[in-house]
Amino acid sequence: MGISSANLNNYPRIGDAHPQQKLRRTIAAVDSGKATADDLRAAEDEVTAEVIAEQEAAGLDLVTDGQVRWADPVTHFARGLEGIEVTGLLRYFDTNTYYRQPAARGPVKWKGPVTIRDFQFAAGKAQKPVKAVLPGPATLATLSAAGPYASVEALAGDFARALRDEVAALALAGATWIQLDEPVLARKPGLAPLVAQCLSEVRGGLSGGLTGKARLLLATYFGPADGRLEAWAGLGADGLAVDVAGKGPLGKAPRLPDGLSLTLGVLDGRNTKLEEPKSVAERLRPWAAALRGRDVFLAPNAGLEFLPRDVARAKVACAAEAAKRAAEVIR
Amino acid sequence: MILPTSTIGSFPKPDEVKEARAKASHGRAGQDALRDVERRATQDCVRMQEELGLDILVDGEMYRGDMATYFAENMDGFKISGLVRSYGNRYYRKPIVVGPVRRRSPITLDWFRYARDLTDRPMKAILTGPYTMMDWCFDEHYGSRRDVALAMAEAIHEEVADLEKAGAQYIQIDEPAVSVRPDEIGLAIESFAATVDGIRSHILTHICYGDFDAIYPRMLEIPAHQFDLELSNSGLDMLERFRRNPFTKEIGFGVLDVHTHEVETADQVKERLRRALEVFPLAAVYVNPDCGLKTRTTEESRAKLAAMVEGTKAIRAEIESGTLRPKVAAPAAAKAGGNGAPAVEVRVAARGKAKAGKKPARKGAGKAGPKGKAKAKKGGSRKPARSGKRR
Repeated sequence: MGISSANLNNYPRIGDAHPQQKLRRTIAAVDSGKATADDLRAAEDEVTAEVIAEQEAAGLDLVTDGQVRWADPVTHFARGLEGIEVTGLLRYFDTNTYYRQPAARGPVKWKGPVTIRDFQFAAGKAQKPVKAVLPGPATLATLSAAGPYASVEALAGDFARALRDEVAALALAGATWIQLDEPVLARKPGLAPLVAQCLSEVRGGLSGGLTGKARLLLATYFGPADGRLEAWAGLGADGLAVDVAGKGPLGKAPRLPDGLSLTLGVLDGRNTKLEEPKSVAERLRPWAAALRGRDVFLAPNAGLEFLPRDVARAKVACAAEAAKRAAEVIR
Repeated sequence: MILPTSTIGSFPKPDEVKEARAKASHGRAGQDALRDVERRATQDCVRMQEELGLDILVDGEMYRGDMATYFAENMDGFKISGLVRSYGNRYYRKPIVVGPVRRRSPITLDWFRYARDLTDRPMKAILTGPYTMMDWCFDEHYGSRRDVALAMAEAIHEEVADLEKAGAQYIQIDEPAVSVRPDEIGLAIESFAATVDGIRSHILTHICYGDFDAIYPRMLEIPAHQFDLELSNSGLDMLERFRRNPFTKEIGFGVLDVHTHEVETADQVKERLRRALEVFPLAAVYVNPDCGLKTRTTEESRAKLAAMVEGTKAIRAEIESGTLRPKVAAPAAAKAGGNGAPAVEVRVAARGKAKAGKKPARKGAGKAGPKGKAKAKKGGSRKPARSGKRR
């Protein structure tokens, strides 16, 4: 229990220095037939270890693998499922980035682990706990072409069942923090009942005795929590990651169930302007009582891949420093 | 001419340009050497468009990297970030606003003049719009998206005015970011209006990849005469939207999917145009690829455009022979300047140079200020008079 720092999900896989562009060069070489899939795997492993070390050196307490192997936020997982074909480029929410749209061609099913090897590799390299991150079922369904499915809800249900099996496999592999990213919830709060239904389905994967202490997190971003925290706390996750970046003290503290962990997106992951750790910590003062006695992580409010590598590193360092100061504020 | 053909702006950069840019950025070659290479590539690009039979040409943007960063590099108030990912293995350097945004001198004017003088066909000038510039920058200075967008608008307006003075008949102001934040469509309209205030050239805009359900039909309030839209990438599904709510502007109809290596056939282009003419009045249809061609190879671009021109010529022949009879009439809203936007005035793509000092679009035109203080003089213009006034 206490206040610490975390990455939300991804981290820049290349930087401006020549050695930091190894993965970019390797992908280009693979595309032109000058390198092999094994070369690519080796480069991904190397860069994964590098970004984990960078997060740890900046002081983060809970790191990710940086999603170094992900082509975009959706297809890395979706393309590993039965019944999915990856199709054309679409804009990813309101960002100037793109994803390839998954299209359902038949019943969507889990056919085997998609991210387990990635997680195990990252956990083997990290000194700190590694958070496993997956796209959430409602977001997957909303961003996909439903094909034979009669509704987005029906497709989300099958994505949830596929995620249930992936989550169970991650828990068995030793993941203690498993995050489902549902940015669509911040953009369309009306989807909360669907998210709750899907989370219930996914939680089934954590009901076995072998899944240990894994905790399921629900992450929303690309839109502020804006007073919806209490409602989202009831959706069935063990923890919430929400966007509370901005200036000035946080507003009225929400009433949250005991034991619910909070990942507070206090740093703007989509702007290069650096926050002051002291100011970040001070913003939490109105929530001090609500934050005491639970696991709280200070984090960026979006994936850090929207930023250049040097700024991303400065942001996570800020999160780590802000967490130290916040411990004093909420004590 | 009916169904004029054009492109959205960017063409693939030849290896010589990429190598020259890399050398210049690492200090291994000077800017003059780079400029020479870019000029030769521009010549080749213009010649290729002529050979293909396109009607309205572009300079191909051989001298630009990213469409937002290029303008930021040439304005005050910016620094340029380290690399950030766009998608897949593509990265770009994103502008950071660190002070008041100002145009310090004309940005594209010399390139426009250079390309224009390479051909007898109309040369379209292409800029990035204020909303997109704002959305695709980090802001460390203003703290307000509206303030950034309006500052951009003021700077870009100066460029538009200079291009108009230089004889640009067609000025395209790209706003691809407009479709991704429907809640800010009002700001997109406001900043675009400030950008073209007092301008009398034919204004086009290009919007792509986003939530058109949420911004249509209000996006028609953007004061442009023509909207160049990507339609083929999504299987022309946007046509249904335009059947329900008529499109009141000219359409630059995207008949080529620029995100596939597959080269369309002339028959595919014909079929797409036939479907376009079920929805839009003939006189309002221009023919384009969906988007810029810079992500394709030169060979793919050439083949795709050849199919576009061949398919368009075939449809023209069918119309002229009476085999195909387009039935859609121009909507009344267009003639009246519907939605408060300027009236649509469909013009035939004129052949012949429009050089400043020789055939100025606005001979004797005065300054067009950013706050609607245009002082265009009457008389002497070789262009048809505009029937609607831009806000």
